[in-house]
Amino acid sequence: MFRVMVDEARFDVAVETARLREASRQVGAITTFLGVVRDINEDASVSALFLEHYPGMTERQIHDILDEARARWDVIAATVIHRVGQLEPTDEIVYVGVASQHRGDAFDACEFIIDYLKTRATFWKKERTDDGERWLVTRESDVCAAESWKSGNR
Amino acid sequence: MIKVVLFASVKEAVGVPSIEVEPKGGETVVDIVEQLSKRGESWRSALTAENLLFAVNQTLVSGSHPVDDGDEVAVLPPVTGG
Repeated sequence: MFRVMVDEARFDVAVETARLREASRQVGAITTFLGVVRDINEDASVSALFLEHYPGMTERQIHDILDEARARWDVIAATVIHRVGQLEPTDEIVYVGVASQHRGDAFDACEFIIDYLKTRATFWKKERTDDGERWLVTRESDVCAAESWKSGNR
Repeated sequence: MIKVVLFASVKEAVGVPSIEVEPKGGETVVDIVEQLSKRGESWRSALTAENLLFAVNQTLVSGSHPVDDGDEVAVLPPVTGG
């Protein structure tokens, strides 16, 4: 009921969401987030995105994030799938799906999970643009989003 | 031996994904990093970059965390997943 996958393979949003729906007859709400590769970042045109991770640690961290979400909200089932390897604009990168009894918990837990994943999980993105390749750095806006979940502010 | 694993920009800068270090006993993460910094300019500049995090056996730790024979130390640049 709590699935974490880090892999190069593509995933199917419909299949994953259906799985969450089947988790339990108590499920009344499912929220999903899909992250997609854009073709522009900070005014540079992006032609490719390479994702590296730390096998073992990355999966464990995502499980820890799911544990935190479960401690704070009613989460009946959740799935996080994150692709790694060579990706291109319009490719799916990450899926976060949360099944709860009610929508308040489903919305909050889903947002929490992606906000924490962006600032904690050991992934590194390298973009290819017209000017060459560059490793991205953590965005301040992402750090702020993660911080906002602390000490019961949300 | 202590295995040090490297990622992303750090791995590219030094040209290898990992390196083994002979334990001297009583070392911390910072001690291991300082030792590796002496390998050359690319190591020194990569390992003194800002905002690096460290892990021992896949758990985030501070620089003062002890490192024992058989541990895996990871040098983690700022993360950008999601």
